[in-house]
Amino acid sequence: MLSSESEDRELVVAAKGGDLHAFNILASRWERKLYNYLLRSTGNREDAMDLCQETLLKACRGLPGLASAERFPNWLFRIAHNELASVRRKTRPAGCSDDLDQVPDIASLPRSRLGDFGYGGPELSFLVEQALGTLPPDQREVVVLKVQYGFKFHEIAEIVGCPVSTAKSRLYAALKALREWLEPVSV
Amino acid sequence: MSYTPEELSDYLLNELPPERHSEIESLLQSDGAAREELERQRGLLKALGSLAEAVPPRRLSFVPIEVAPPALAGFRRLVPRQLALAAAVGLALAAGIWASGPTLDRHASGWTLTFGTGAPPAAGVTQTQLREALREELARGENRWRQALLETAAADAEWTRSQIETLRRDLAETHEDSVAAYEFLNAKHELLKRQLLEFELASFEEVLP
Repeated sequence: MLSSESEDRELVVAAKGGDLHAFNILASRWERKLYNYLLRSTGNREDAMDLCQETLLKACRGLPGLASAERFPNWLFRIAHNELASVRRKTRPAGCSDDLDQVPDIASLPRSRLGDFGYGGPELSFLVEQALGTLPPDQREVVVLKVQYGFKFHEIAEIVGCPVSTAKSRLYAALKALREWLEPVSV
Repeated sequence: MSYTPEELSDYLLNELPPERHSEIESLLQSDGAAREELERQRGLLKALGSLAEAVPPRRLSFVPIEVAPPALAGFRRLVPRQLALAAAVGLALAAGIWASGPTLDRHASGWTLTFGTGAPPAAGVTQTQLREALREELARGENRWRQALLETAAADAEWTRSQIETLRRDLAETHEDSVAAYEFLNAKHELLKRQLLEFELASFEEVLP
């Protein structure tokens, strides 16, 4: 994981004992990752922030019930995933999108020319972001959890609530699709 | 020995069992096509790793909710209700006895305690004057209590005002931070849009005869 595990463990133990200050430190260490996971899953900053807040609130309330401090990251992302699933179940009115959706679709770019354009740094990051946006939500989620945050397959399966084989096949399918889009850029 | 592209992904993501990991490592040393495929996958993962992390628009922090206790709550907790009631009854009785003007006289047969109708009060002090003095004393006591209550209420109001002021200041600072962050991101967004537009225009120019 990205955070120092031993420090997290100590903070979780303290927070479980009712130390709100420890929980606030824990939240400050994880909120950025949570926010980015939720942002990439929803594509909407406000929704991501609301879900992030809801996730941390539920974590704060449910922390005394967490059996093992080591499992905190998986448990936290599991809550976030459930919050996300709950929002997805509700129908969202058409046209309710923020400026992330208004960026031109990568599909409108002449793909064969992307490689010649000399993308790098922010441009590449921008294109990867756009390519991720073309993936189905369940595949995008697995890519973010695996490639960005380094969760193991069995941990992703636990977070997303699916068999390990499903988590793997989602990742492979996503990588295949992303490769078709990005290979001319990244290679 | 054969391999699948998925196994190479797992190799890069460190998800293979140790024996298979070693086998793939040996394979990569001898198989150029496998090495090429591995490098392409590495490039893709590197591109995915280049994603910039967005900063949350506001910080989250949890605070314990503390309701300021009423001024007399501590005193009430210390003194049990029955004891307070008994003290109040005792005080009322004592005041009644004192107001009725008790007198203690010594006779040849012993001591006599009389209330009200007994011997007149000391020379120069009438019942009316006593009542008046009692009324004044009660009024003074009431004023003292009222003053104390007013001071407590004023202190509470001052505390609340300072809390509101602090929250207002925090809100203003957060707002300024948000505006600055928004302006920065908006400028970045505009720049990217302009770059894309320029790129599209350049592509059209190349395609057009």
